[in-house]
Amino acid sequence: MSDLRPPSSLCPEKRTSLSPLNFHVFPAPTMADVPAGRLPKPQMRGLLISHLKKHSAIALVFAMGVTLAYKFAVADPRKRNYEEFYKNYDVKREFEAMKEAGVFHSARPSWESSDD
Amino acid sequence: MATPAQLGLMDAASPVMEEMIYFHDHVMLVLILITCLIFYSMLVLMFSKYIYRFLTDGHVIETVWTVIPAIILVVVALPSLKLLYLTDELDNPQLTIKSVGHQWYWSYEYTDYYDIEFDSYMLPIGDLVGGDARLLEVDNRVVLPVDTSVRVLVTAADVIHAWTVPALGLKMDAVPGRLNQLALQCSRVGTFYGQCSEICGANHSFMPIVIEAVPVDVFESWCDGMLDSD
Repeated sequence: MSDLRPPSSLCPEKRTSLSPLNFHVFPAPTMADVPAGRLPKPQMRGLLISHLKKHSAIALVFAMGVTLAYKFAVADPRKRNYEEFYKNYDVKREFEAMKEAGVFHSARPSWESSDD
Repeated sequence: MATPAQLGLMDAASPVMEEMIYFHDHVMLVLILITCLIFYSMLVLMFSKYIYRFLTDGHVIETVWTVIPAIILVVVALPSLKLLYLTDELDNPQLTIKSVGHQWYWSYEYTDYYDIEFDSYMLPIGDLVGGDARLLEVDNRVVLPVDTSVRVLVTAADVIHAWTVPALGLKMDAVPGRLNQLALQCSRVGTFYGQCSEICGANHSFMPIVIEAVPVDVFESWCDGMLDSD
């Protein structure tokens, strides 16, 4: 029976030839070959509640994050924009510009009367 | 006026409309919070394999999901009521005008200081000039002074209409036999458009409202011009 030796440090003998006739097969490592230590005990009970707790926290953080993003990206800048607009708002200047553009019926632009 | 593909509210031209926009943002915060919570919950539950076989009742969770929505409703309702009462506040109006709805035009009366009355018909498409808005322009506009508290008394002569100007946050039913009062204050100069908002017959869609907010001296000149033309 031919053996296939894994090229690892577990294998004490080195392969001396590349010929397929010289390959040796060893059985898979057993518990005796594994270094001493314990696997962590998996959670056996309360999986649903721990799942819900974890995802409730994530949901809350996600929702609050998106809400705060809307507040700081949309709502607060909109208030600041209105404040900035009216801070130095000049009624006369805006009216004259709109009048010359022909927006109003009650006040016609100066170029219209000169054309007449 | 509204622009093509517009999704949000129109830019405010009065303090009340500004407050409405801020309130809309406030309610959007609440809606975004709830929507994100629900969507994430749906996503997680779709891919979860856990069940609890012995579930019979949930007094705690039922209390939680009753109290929290009640709190959310209070958070929405308090600013809403504050805004509602703000829209009704009339701050010593310096001018009163009357707006009367007819089938299918508006008529306006400025009878405080002058005796000015005129009808306001929609301009047909053939009478529009370049830059005019279709179905929104009128032959005689409502001219008002800017930064002035104005009282608008709205009524109708035949059937129920509604006088609306979205940019100023105004909407009021025009009911025959009843005078409804609106508080109006334009914060900036410009033209502001609206349309009848209560079904009133065949040409309900063709009786628009146009307000021109101008400086006080221009308003007075306009009044003189209207009196002279009479």
